[in-house]
Parts: sequence; structure tokens; C-alpha cells
Amino acid sequence: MANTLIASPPATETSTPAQVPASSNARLVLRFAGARAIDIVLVMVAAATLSFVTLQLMPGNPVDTLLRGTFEITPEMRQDVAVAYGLDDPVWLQYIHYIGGLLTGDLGISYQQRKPVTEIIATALPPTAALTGLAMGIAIVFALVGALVSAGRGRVARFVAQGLELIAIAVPSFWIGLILLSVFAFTIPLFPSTGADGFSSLVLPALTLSLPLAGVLGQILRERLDETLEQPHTLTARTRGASPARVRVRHGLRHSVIPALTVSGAIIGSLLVGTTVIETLFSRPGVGRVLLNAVMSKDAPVIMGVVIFSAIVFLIVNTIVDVLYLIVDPRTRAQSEVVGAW
Amino acid sequence: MKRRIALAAVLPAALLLASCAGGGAGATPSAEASTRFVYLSDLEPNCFDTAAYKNLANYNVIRQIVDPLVRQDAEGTFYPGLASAWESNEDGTVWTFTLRDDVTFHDGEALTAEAVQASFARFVAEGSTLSAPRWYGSSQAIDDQTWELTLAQPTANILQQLSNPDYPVFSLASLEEYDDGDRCADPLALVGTGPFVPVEYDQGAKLILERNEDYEWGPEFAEHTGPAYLSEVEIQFVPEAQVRIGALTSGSADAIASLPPLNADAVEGAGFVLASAPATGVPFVAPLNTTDGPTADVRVRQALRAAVDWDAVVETIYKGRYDRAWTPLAPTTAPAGSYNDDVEGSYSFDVDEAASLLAEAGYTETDADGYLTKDGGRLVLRWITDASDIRDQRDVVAEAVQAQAREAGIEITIEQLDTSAYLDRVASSDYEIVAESWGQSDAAVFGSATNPKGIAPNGINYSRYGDEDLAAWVPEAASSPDPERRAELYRLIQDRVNEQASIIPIYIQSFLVAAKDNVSGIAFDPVGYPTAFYDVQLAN
Repeated sequence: MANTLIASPPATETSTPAQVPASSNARLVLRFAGARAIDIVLVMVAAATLSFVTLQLMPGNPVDTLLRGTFEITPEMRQDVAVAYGLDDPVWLQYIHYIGGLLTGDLGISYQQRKPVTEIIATALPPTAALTGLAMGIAIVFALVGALVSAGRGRVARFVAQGLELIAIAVPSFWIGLILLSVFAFTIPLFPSTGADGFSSLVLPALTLSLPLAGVLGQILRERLDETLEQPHTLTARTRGASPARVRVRHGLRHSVIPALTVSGAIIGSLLVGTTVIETLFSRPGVGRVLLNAVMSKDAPVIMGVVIFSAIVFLIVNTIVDVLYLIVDPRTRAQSEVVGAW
Repeated sequence: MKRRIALAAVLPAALLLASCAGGGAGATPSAEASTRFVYLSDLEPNCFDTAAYKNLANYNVIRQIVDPLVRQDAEGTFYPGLASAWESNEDGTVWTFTLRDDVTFHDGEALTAEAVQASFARFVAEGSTLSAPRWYGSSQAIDDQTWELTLAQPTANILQQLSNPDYPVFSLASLEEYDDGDRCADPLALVGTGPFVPVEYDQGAKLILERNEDYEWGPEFAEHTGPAYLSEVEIQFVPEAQVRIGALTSGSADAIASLPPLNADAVEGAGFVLASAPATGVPFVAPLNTTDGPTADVRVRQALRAAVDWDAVVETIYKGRYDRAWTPLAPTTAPAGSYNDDVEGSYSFDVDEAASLLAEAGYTETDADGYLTKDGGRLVLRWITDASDIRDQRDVVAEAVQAQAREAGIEITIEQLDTSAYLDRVASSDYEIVAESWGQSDAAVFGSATNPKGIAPNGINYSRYGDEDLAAWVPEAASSPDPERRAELYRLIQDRVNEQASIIPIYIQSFLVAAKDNVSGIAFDPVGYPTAFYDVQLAN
């Protein structure tokens, strides 16, 4: 929903940003924010409903899971557990309780950890945010440098760049991580192999997570850059005497960044799942590991909490991406409702 | 007179000197500079409160923090724990425990019967999410140092039960300050009496324990007395085996848990020491569904058992580190004499035998893929596994069995399910093969696995087998106060399981710990888990 705004950039290059009086700018921003807030509530309820239904449809009784490890189980014990977790209520009532709680910011209590799901996610979020943030940063730097250096430089450069990108995308991150660990943690002990103590423990996991992203982003950027450098407007810029570097960065890159932005939005959403592997390999706390444990033990409140949380993150990231489009590409401003805000 | 004064002056000085010398000679490492021990565990507890959730992960942690009422050594003998003495009434239903009077909790509170009572009252509190054990009737504090437990039913292994970490004793103040949710989520909310005090927990990464300097109530069977040797233990939670091995070999860890048997030779060859103890209870076994599907026919079960070379499977996968199991009871499990060694060698790998048993059972035709059929239907056995519980390359075992069964014309399909779906299939009898291990330092758990009244979901009888004999033997073995009678009954039950091939024994797991060669004193609890760091020392 977030991307429809920009799905088809306008073909004309001539449209100018509309002039809107300053007083209405604030109103427009508010309206924009309000619309997004409603979006978030709708997405939350939709994600909650969908995951609730899915979990209900999945086989298995949570009572059995909660009693795993108990060798002798009486019907009374089963009943006690069901009552303690509200599992004896009819399904529709459980759903209403859940949605009611959701709207007041209560995602329920984890079956396994017996503490509030919001607290579990809040604790796991900072290390995951640091990991994904740094990985995204590294990926962007790698991709930009790779694209700027290799685009339009002939077949050899393209071949090398393409090869590196493909390797980065195709090699499983688990394996990349193991290699990095054995070289930079075990053989040359530059970085710790486990934990989340400060920046040094972030380097290897972030690097591991960033490589496939850098591959994807680099590919998109370089292809678009190659194309753009062939365009007449680039030639025009050259004839006006712009330096090769200025042509690449100011004219070429600007055009190439848009598809990369679109992809980035989707990538950050999927990173939550991507971190599961990395967090396990590097023994880091985080949302990915919380999700993995929850899925393994069918800790329904946690699974639903993470799904809802991911949906919100996805929505917010795409909102940011939409705003970035407006900054990067003036052409899109004319079409946007938020025109005046920028 | 003068001399006497001189003597009086010299004597204390000499005594002081002597005591200094004594202190020097017997210098326990605990008195020396701080020693930090980094231990890499493969499992992080989802819940630290063993009263709420019981598994290997939290046993490992809580054994450092709390002491049980009664201790059991590796041979199965009971020793004082928090209780210095105990006695029961004639029929074994009322137990009176006398508590030690010199024990303090980590918060300084003295151990009283009131704290023990409050720790047990958690199980039956209104709105509690903890499940009281079946044997629990009621309990009360008689006086400061006397606590009385009344059982709902005679329970033969009650002392073993109380030696488990399942019923942790916490300080009264902490029981008031924290609720069950806190204790589950945060190990720092566990205020016990154990040799180590939890001081820092970083979820998903590590737990730091510091030595309890006041600890004077260690196990009688330990190698030393007084506080632990190590001043600090850092348990890091590292799920990946290769990362644990890398950390050990690169020197950033002192010891690592769950070394895969495949890597054992290489790690040992690199100069590290391995420690292990065989598990007790039910080893890794495959209960076969005796009520539904093709395995309801005893001949099919016996044929499957004969069709696989179990020695070869275990040897190939575990490289001689684990023993092959002959019966669903580990040999070292208490009470002594429960293990039935008559079963050893009572069946063998025999493909012809398997073929003739299957022919008798009606599987006479072979289809295009080489599998046996009966009335046009292929012989398919569905092996369901709990994907979250795959460890020790047990998935590889299933594949090896699958490959060998194929040679005998039996198709095994392996289905990996999440815990909930797995338990659902077990509860609804929708499988032919499952595989589990249940560690416990008393054969009672084997009784549970064969109890006709405990057929899943009412217990762990996953083979669903039951007959009149078992219906009498299992409860008697669980409640008889006579260990010899219990052992005799467990031997009978093993004979019956063997005849019926209702459970195929596979291997006896042992928990492998690898450590630097300066590490000594890693102790294993009676279940075979490396859970005590009390005696661990680091040589220089």
C-alpha cells in the first residue's frame, strides 16, 4: 500500500513542484501523519487477525506444549493449565480479548517465558536494530562504491562486479558467517565470536548480514547507472562540461537510487527473518532469535507479537521510503499529496 | 614467673604462625586470586524457574544457584542437602525433614521451614501457572527447622524427586518480592542457597555467576568443602556447535557443552580434555505405535527391529562415543539391579528373519520401487519428530534407519514437525514411529513410558502398549518402598517390552563436555548432565 504512491514515476521531466502556502503545510503533514496512524492500526488488527487464525488452524493444543517435559499428566493438570492461560475460553472470546489487549498496547503473556510479550520484544529490539542498521549501512556503502566504480567501465569491470554481487547473493550467510568467524574470531582474534557487548561484537554479524544485501543493491544500482549513463541527459551534462565524477554522482546516481530505495524498503522488512540465522550463529540476543524460539515451542503470544511488530516496522520503513522518494526525485512531488510539506 | 610471661607472649605468636602455615599449606584455590570460568552452553533456558518448566537448559543453570533438600550422587545414594535428616511413616506417605540450621540464602536470610513451605506453596497457590506434582498432597512447617510433606500417594522415588531441581527452595523475602513470571524470565530473581549467585543476565547472550563466599553446605560427596574454587562463572549461550568448538580451540572459552561425537576425536587430538557421564532414565529409544497402523502387528515391530543393524548405526554416527542400547532403561539407573542384562543379545540384525516375519504378517508382494505390499498397500511407517528437539544428530539416526529399512522393503517416511503439531500427532495416535529420551535418575520414568494409564496425551507411553501385567507392575514399582522389589518389577517390564518390541532401544546418550587441559572437577549429576561447577578448578 505504501509504495503505490510512486509505483510509476511520471514520464515528464517538466512538472514543477506546486507552490503551497506555508500555513497549509503543517495541516498537510498532520493529515499525512494521521492517515499513516490509521494505516498502522488497520495493519496491526489485520496482522493480529491473520496470525490468530493461522495459529488456530495449525494442529496442536497449546496445553500439550505447556506440559511437555512432565512425565505424568492428569486431566486435572491439563484443566489447570488451560484455565491459567485462558485457553478454556471459546476461541471467539480469546480473539476478542486479544484484539482488546492489542488496542491498549498489551500483546499478552508469553507461554514459555511468562512475561509480557511487549517487554520481550522491547528487550530484543535494540541489538536487532543495531545489527540491521549497521548491516544496511555497510550494504549501502558497498553497493554505492561498487556501482560507482564499475558502471560504464567496460566488460571486465562489469564482469568482476557482477561476479562479486552474485557470490554475495548466492552464498548462504550462514557459511559466510562461519568463514568470518574462523578467520577474524578464532584464527586472528580481532572480534569476539559471541554476545552483544559493544561495537566490536557487532562487526562480524553486521558484515555477514550486509553482504547479500550489498549484492542485491549493488546489482540494481549498477544496472540502472549503466543505463542512465547512456541517456541523452547525461550526454547533455557532459557537453556542459560536468566532470565525470559529477556526472556519475549528481546525474547518474540520482536516477539509479529510486529502484534501490524501493528494494531497500522491502529488504528491511525481511531482515527481521534474516537476522534469525545471524543471531543464532553469533549467539546474539535479538528479535530473530525470539521468533525462532517462539515458533519452535509454539509460543503463540510471542509469534503473534513479532508478526504484528514486523508489520508495523514494515509500514514505518515504507513511509520513510516514500518520503525519501520525494527528496531524491523532484518529479514525484507533483503527484504527491504531501507535496507542500517538502 | 618471667619465663611464664615470656611463654604466654610467645604462644599466641606461635599459634598465629602455625595457623598461617596451615592456611598456606591447605590454601584452597578459592583463597587465591580471582578465577573466572567461561562455559559455553548450547541451550539457553526459555524459563529459568525449574518449578515451571523442566528441561536440560534450566537444570544446568539452577543447579548452581539452588540446593535441593536431598542430594543424590552418581551411584544413586542419597545424602543430606538442605535437609540434614529425614524419616517417613510406615507406609511412606508422610515425610519429615530436619533442615540444616547453618544455611543462608544469597540475600542473607536464614533457611527456615517457613521458606521451604512457601517455596512449595507456589505450586498450589490460587491462580498459579505451576503444576503441582502428582504425589503432592500437602505440607507444613512444624517448627523453624522441621518441614513435613504428606504425599497424595506412596511414591517410591520421592527422595529422588526432591533431589531434582524441580522443587527449588527460595528465600521468603524473594518469594514476596518476585512473582513466578519474574523467576521464569530473570535468573536474578532466583534467590537460593547454592554455591553461585547470579549477578548479571544478558538475554540471548550470557549469564554471570559469582561465588557464594558463605557456602559451607556443599555435597558430602564433593571433592572439597567450603566455597567453590571459581570466583566467577560466565555461561554464554552459543547454539552453534562449530562456534563453540572454535571458541574453545581459539582460547576464548574454558569449556564447552554438547560436543558433537563426530568432533570428539579432533578436539581431543588438539589437546583438550573430554568429560562425560552416561545418562540415566530412558535412553534414546523409538516407541512404536502398538495400537494403530502397520506397527499394531507385533511381527512388523519385530521385523523392523531385526531389519536394522543398530550396532552399525550407532557406531557410524557416534564414533564409539555412545553405547548402543538394548532396553529402554539406561544401565546405571537406580534402583540398583533394575537394568535387565538378559535382554542384551536377545535379538540380532537378521534380514532373513525380518523378511519371514513380514511375510507372516501378510507383506508378500513387492511393488515397482522395491517396497513390500499387502493387499496392494505399501508398507509405510511414518516416523514423526519434534524439530525443536533435534540434537545429537538424531535426525541422522532416523535417516540411517530409513536407509536400512529400505533394504528390507520397509518404507520409512520422516516428518519433522513443530512441537505442538508433534504432540498433537502423538496424542491422536497418528504415527508409527516416534523417538525420545527421558532423563531421570530413577527407573520410575521408564515406568511412566510403559504405563498403560499414561498413554499419550496422559503421559509418555508413546508406544501405547498396555496389558494386565503392566497395569499391575508399573504402579507397584512406582510406589513400593522396597528397592529390590522395584528392581525386579522393572526387569519384568523390560522383558515384556522386549517380547513385544513395543519400544526399540537405540543408544545411551552421554553428555560430552570439552575443556582446556587445565580444567578439572567438572561434575555430572545423576541424570548425566554436567551441572555442578562447585568442584571445578583451573590449574595455572
